[in-house]
Amino acid sequence: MESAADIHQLKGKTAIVTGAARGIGKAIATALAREGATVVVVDLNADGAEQTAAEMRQAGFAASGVQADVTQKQSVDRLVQETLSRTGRIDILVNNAGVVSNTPILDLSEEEWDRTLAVNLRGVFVCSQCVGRVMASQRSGRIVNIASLAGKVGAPGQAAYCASKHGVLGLTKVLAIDLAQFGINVNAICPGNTETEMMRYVFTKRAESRGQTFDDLAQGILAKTPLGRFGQPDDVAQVAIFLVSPASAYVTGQTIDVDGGRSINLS
Amino acid sequence: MSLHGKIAMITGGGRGIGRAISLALAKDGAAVALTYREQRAAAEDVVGQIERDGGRAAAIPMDVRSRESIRAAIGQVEAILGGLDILVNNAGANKPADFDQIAETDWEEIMAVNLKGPFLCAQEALPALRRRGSGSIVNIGSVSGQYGGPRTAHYAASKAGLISLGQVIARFGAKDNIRCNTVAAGLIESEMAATGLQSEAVKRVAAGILLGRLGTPDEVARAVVFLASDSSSYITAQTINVNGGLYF
Repeated sequence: MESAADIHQLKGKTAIVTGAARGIGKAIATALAREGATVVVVDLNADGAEQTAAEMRQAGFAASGVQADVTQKQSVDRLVQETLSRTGRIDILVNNAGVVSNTPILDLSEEEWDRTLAVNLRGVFVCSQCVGRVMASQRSGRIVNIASLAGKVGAPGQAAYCASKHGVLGLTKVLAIDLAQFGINVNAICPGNTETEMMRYVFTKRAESRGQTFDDLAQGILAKTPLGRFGQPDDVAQVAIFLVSPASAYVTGQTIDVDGGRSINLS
Repeated sequence: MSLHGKIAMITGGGRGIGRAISLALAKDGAAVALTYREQRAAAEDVVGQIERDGGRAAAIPMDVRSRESIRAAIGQVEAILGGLDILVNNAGANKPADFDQIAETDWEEIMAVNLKGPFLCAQEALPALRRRGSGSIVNIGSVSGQYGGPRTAHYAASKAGLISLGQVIARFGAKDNIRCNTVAAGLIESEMAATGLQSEAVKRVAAGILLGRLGTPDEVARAVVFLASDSSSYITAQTINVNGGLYF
């Protein structure tokens, strides 16, 4: 019996994390490396990817930064080839790259809709297909999609974001069904309000539109969060570790909410 | 994900999934109290195994249908092991039968063990968890309670109720930093003998498991370890499904 407490339980594994230059993606990349995985830090921002990878290497971890656009198959194929040339395999894919859209529906442009759906939903499809082919040939793999509570409920001014994240949860289920025969488990995490630049941006815009201060808005949300604090990127990363570790071998097609209990409070 | 220094109580911890949970929590460093109603020898066997591996454990007689029995057992856990950080509501009963054949007495018995038991245990455990400043309660649910499992009106209803009960406990316990979550198990090997998993209806369900096999008790146990540990410190009021892709 392996224990989840085993140190370096991901030793020998290769992991790709998209959108890993900062925020939740960076925390996941770091946590994977801490467990012994060789991590490919992927971001649209080349400097950001390299900087995060460099920080990780300085901490003694195995990491490289690669620029890629998750919406473009050519770009993701190049990422996969580069990764294979280095490590010969891909065991873990964390589809974390995402953008937020916070514009009331009557003002939402087609361009913003298309961009949001492209990164958040098409990107998960493209990366899962390209990496899924490698995992299928290995007959093993773990895919974790970072969705959002906005994948389960509606949020004001987030038509494109909610639609994309609802889509990610549907896609997660079909990926689990289609890839189970190849030994690939696919699950999703729905973070609640997690302290990142994205959260600060959304709160700022929402507070403006309601004529509230940022702090009043934040306090109102905390009042509806049973555990009484916002999530930290590492809270999400710890759950990602569970979902790529041997401990979750019998878990597939599922969603785990990391929201401090926020979702039991209606509205 | 270490449980070193934590003290856990597992109801029905001597057999099947409960046994696997007791062993897994102990393996991660927790001191473990496992309760039993009738199967004393099985419970003491688990204690012996944990102690041989260098862990701390105690087998304690308890009936989840009785508040007095639960209160006495929790008192013993605190006295013997020094506190209580983790409660695993695992004890459960099942008696599959067609809907029109279920006797009222069976309905009441299943509800008493599977739903009222966790209610009483959580209520009685709260003061002990508060004394430690935080806690984690994990309920063992079932996919039956999520899709109306065949031939188990009472069992399915009790397990559906357990998910809702867990959410209310999470809501109430949060201010004391007490989390509560449910692990909804799919078709698990250990239950086969006891609950007639050989039936045609269950075989049809098993054929739909994405991973193409039944789960093991240890696979349920490892989700419990996750929910008991600080790795899940921002997760409360949730249900984690360990079902091989049988239901999502």
